[in-house]
Amino acid sequence: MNISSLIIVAFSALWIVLLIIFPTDLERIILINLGNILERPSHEYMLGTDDLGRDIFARLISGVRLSLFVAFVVVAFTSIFGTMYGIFAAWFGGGAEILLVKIIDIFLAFPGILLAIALTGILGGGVQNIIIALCSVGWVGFARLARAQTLKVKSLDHLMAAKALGTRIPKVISKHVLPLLAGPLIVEVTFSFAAVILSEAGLSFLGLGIIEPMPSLGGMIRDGALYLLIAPHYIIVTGLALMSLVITLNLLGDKLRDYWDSKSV
Amino acid sequence: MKNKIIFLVRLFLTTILVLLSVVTAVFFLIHLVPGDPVLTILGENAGLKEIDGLRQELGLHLPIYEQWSNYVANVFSFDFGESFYYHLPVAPIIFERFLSTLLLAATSFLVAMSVGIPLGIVAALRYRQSWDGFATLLALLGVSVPNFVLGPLLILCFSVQFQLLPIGSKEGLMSLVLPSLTLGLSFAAILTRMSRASVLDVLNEAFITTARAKGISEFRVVFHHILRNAVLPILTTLGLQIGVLLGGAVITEAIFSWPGLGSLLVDSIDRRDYQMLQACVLVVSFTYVGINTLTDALYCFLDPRIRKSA
Repeated sequence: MNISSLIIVAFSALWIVLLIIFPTDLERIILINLGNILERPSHEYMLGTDDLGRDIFARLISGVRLSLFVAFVVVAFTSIFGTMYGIFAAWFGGGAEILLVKIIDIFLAFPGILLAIALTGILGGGVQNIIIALCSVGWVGFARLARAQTLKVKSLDHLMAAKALGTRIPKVISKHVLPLLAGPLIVEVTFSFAAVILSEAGLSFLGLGIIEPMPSLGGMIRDGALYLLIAPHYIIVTGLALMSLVITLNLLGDKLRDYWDSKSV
Repeated sequence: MKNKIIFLVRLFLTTILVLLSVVTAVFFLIHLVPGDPVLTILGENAGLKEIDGLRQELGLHLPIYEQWSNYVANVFSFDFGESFYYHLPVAPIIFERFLSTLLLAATSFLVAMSVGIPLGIVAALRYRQSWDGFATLLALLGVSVPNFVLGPLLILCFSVQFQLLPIGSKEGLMSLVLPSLTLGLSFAAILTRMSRASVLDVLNEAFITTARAKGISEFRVVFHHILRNAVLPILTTLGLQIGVLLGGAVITEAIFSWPGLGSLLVDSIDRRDYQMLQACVLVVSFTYVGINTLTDALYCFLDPRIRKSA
């Protein structure tokens, strides 16, 4: 087993254990306790306390839970919608395809996270609006990928044969096209999971994402940056937590891509 | 020559269409404000006269298609309306901030180019050796460490611990260093991955084997045969990736309170200054579309194969 597999297994195991074992103790997460603000890690508070005297460890765990929840919902929606959109565009071709591709181009004209920032800025923060904003930005990647892949496999012999035999289109797509797209799509799902976690944290960092007192990685990193001089451990542990999640997902994506590339050759 | 002109004309028309759609999308942003945008801006205690006044000023009393055509006409004559917060026209404020953002983006781009591309090339040429492993690891860290973590850590290290560099944005060129590093290094990671992949692709080509078999010096093989062919794919993907840089600038500016469009955008959200918000989004997106159009045009001139197929 090489280093990257080891990192993937170790980090995933660590997070699964942490997320399952530690119950969400609302009192520790939300209750403000001005008697012990910005305390160093101690026996009672494993990672110390934040600027309002709340347990950093408990907030971190529940922030990660929320973050994973948002990422799961967003990726589930964007991957399904984007893939259907892309397959539809490539399969039917003609004027419909031109229009559908133009719509993709319009979304691509907004750089990076900018559209999500503008949308959450207008709609307001909160879990629901973050999910709306990230969904409206995220589907485009899947649509482009699915269209490109469908164009590639569209004229394969067994697909032509299925069509010639009069198989209904939904069946051709689900039985013959989707399995051929599965590899690249799974890779994209992994990377976009990491990207959504980062975007959500970015939005919350700017104060546009998850609303206090709900904990979020981005919000905690912002607070940590404010108290950089007094309590450097605050930003370091929250930063490391976010990094470990994203690194694991990115490494997993790389692995899956290598696996898929070697198979398709 | 004829093909080239057709290609450029088509590119120009597509760009106009995309810009028009972007303006339309941004126009609709204000209609996404929950409830009545005028009430949201003025607050609950506003008088009827005030409310009507602002509604007239924003043109929100007109039918939607008229609002739209006014908005498009205004934008294309560089009139972005008046800021509700500053009580001044938006355009001059935006322009000043835009130059600031451009400066930050340019220096970050330089950082990224000078770190990312050499690292990627070396990694590919030393495929599966220790240099490659080192570069791949750095690139992985670069794409996984967001700028809002990297920025504060750089401040902690260089401004607090060693006191080498200023944190604020008012100390001349030195204050440009940390923001450019923050924004540039994450972009460098993307460039490393791109150039590594691109060089690896070329390395597998038959003409490289031929060149080596002919006994051409390794220096010439690398610079003449490999890099010349690897540059073009890097260039095209570079244009698309600039979006990461421009989007990342918003967050980086917020960290260092850099007086650019990004921090203006975030401040405008807090101030419910929607005209300003719309203008910021428009200007950043226009820049991005412009850069991509330029890349496409440049590509057409650099690669003879494209010209023929156009």
